[in-house]
Amino acid sequence: MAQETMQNIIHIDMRGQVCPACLLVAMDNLNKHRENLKSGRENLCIKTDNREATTTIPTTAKNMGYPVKVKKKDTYYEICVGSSMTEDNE
Amino acid sequence: MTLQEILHLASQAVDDPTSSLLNTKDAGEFASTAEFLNNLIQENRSLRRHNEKTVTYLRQKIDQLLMVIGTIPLRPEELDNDTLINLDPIGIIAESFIQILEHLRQTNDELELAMDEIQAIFESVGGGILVLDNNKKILSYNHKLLQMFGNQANDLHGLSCKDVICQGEKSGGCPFEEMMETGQPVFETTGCPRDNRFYSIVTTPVRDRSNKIVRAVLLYLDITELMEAKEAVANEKERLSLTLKSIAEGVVATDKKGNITLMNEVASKLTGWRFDEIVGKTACEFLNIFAGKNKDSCLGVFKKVLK
Repeated sequence: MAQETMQNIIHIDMRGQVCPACLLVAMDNLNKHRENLKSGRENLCIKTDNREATTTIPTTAKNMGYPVKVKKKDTYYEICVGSSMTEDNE
Repeated sequence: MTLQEILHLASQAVDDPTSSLLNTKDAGEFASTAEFLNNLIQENRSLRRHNEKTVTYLRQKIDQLLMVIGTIPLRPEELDNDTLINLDPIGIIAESFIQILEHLRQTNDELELAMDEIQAIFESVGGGILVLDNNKKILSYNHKLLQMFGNQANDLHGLSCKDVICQGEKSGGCPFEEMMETGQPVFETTGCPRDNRFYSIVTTPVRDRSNKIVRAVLLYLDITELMEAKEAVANEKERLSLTLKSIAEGVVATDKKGNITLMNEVASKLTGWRFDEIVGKTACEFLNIFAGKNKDSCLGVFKKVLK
């Protein structure tokens, strides 16, 4: 799992991992970066190739009050969470 | 038995919890050492069992919490025991629950505010509002409805719609079935014979998440005065029509622009036009009796009159 921060976006690559481990990592990051995510200073973008994670992570993030956007890429999904994200599921 | 052999057997007994303990009789001069080692082996086995129970309990609780969050349980191969302890899923989920509960509290506050707004609208609407459940029983209503149909009752909750509207005299006052059949809002006008009042009723369905109709909102507007005004206008029209018929002269009326709005039978005979042929058309196109062949002078006459 790779994690890097660029332009106020925290990128986490969880390709190859499955739920619920994916969800736990996502939740851990949502907790750790809570202040910045709530204020809009940061966004969290997760790359995953686990289809179940595209349901569990957005549902949990929404329950926590975060807008979520899911994008289908060529070989994976990108789930972006944060106040500056326009809520949308693609 | 040498001390080295005893230590080797002790090591095996620690690694394999099903193996037997050291035989102190075979240990000879090291019998007390073997007994001490046996105690340590038993304590080790007990701690391992306790540790296994703790990890099993932790996994069960983590799985329960994961199910509550909405995902599947952890597979043992997904996280080994050491990683499980280090990752601290219970801590992560607990902290997430704090955020979820905060969000719920915020949502509840917003809902409460929205509820107050709806209640204010509910009470400030000029019509009576009735909310019914699937069995046409009254769930809520506003003060205006109580004024309209309360019949001095203090509480209408739980009563049947039909028993309350027009005090049960008029079955048409509760268009619930039609709305249930069509699934669409229903507009109806009905009258209550007892107090001779008329109501315009709008019945709107309320659906649950599965799109099933679970409630209905009925808005009652008292249109008695409107109906009376309509009747008065119709009566006046009839009276005017009779008056026009009884006049021996031809009478033609126009609007401000000179377009024909009314003509009596005598005028129809005099001009040769039926009223339905010329209604709404310019009078000067048909009535050139005022100005002969000059239509401008006809219009001039009208302009003078209509100024």
